[in-house]
Amino acid sequence: MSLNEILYRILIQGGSYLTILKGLRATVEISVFSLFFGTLLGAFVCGLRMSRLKIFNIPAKIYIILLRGSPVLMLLMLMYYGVFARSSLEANTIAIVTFSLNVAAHVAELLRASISATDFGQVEAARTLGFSAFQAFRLVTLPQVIQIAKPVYQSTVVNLIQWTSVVGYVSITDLTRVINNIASRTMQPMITIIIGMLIYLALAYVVHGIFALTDMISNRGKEKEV
Amino acid sequence: MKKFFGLFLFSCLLAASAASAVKQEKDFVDAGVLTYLGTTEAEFQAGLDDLRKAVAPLLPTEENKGEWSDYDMMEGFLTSLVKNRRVIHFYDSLLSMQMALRSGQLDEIALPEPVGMYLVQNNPKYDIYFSLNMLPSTISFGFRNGNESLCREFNSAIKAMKNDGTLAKLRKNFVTELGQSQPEEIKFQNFKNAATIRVAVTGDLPPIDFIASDGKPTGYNTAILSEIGKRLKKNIRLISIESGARSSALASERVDVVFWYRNTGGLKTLPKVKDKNLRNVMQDTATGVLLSEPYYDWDTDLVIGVAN
Repeated sequence: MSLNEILYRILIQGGSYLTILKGLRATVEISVFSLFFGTLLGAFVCGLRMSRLKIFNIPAKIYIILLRGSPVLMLLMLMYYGVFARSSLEANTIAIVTFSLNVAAHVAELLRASISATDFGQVEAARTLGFSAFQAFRLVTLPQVIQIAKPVYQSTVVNLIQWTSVVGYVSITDLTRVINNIASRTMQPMITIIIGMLIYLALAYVVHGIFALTDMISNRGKEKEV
Repeated sequence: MKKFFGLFLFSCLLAASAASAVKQEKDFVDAGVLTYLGTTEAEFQAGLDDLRKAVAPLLPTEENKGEWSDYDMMEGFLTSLVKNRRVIHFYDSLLSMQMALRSGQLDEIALPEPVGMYLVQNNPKYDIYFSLNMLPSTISFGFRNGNESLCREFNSAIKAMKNDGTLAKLRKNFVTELGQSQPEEIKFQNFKNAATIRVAVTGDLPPIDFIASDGKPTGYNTAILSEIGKRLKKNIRLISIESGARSSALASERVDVVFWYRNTGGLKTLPKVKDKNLRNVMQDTATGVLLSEPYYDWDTDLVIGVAN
């Protein structure tokens, strides 16, 4: 069996590429929604975590420790087969909830680290100049936090995409599951898995490209100011 | 720092290559088996070692080979078993087992006959070393404990299908005469206002548990289910799931039925081995699950290795 023939059987025969695209769509869908909700929730948890009041920061601390310290597959199984076992929620929704919870813990920590890295003296200076607390945050702290957090956030996004490869355990046919099915069908696991890896790699590069684009846009803005 | 790191990497590589060079000709064979759900790797290994001891003095000679059933088929494997001890490794999925074989971590793998044939026909890198007709196995449907009513319904449908030849016909179409072609698409009849039975499919055991290139489950199991649905006048919904999650899915009522593949007969066709315990040692008893009548059975496993 020649390589061409094997590739034909893996990628084309019987509309195989459409199935791969469907799997890719499931992966991207779960990743994008989880990232959106996870980031919002993460910012909220970060707010609680940085609060001086113990009733806020202790639960946030516990949340972060639990969610960052446990494998996301276990959490997913627990949610799908335990917490939501009797509900009529779709598997996709449950996966998005689970990954949002997980990403939120990571985002909360990375935001906290970024905020701690900024110089608090600048906020004090802004306040003495008459900025309100919110203005000082929005105009002084936030732009720096975004710059510091960006590279770590980018790797969180790429990690998230890779974590979603376990959703086959909760009956979602994502990219990994499609690749496994094709490997079983064609009995050519090595080549099929390499193809799967290349697709994930491409996704990671798309994320990289998007971040590079945002860098370019913000740099252009700066040049105009100068 | 960079130099240090480079040196470290280099020494790692050197150590690895030295280790592989030192690796001597081993006097055992690493063999992969799909996980037996009712027994452990150690128990399976102990059973096989006992068998090896028991078989050694019994090996057929020219004079007594008539006493052995299927002499030709068995001789190769038994002689080989006595010569080289088999070290058994359980694998949860055929894919990982196949990759272990390809990379040389395993020397041979044992597969149910239809699956083994499918592997050899679809990947010419592999070859059948022996066929082993001593471990009769079956595939049945598995239900949650307590779901007796559904099990009874399935049993009556399976019995009826056995009697009117449907099982044999489907077996011929979807397994024995499949060859290199893909199993055809299977249609499910839709019954209004009827209950829906949810069945977990994995696609991990082609051509029996199989997912086609359009992403739809097909193959022998699916054909049987479509037929059972028609007979019970109930809707069947197939849920594609990772095989490791099947028991969770069954227990949490996400699905009602799973496929259950197991060894049932122990070492049935070794007449010379008198010890009954020994003959039952590899039997795979199901625990925590209710099993239907088997709808597929075979008594031959194929031992497959990389083609020379």
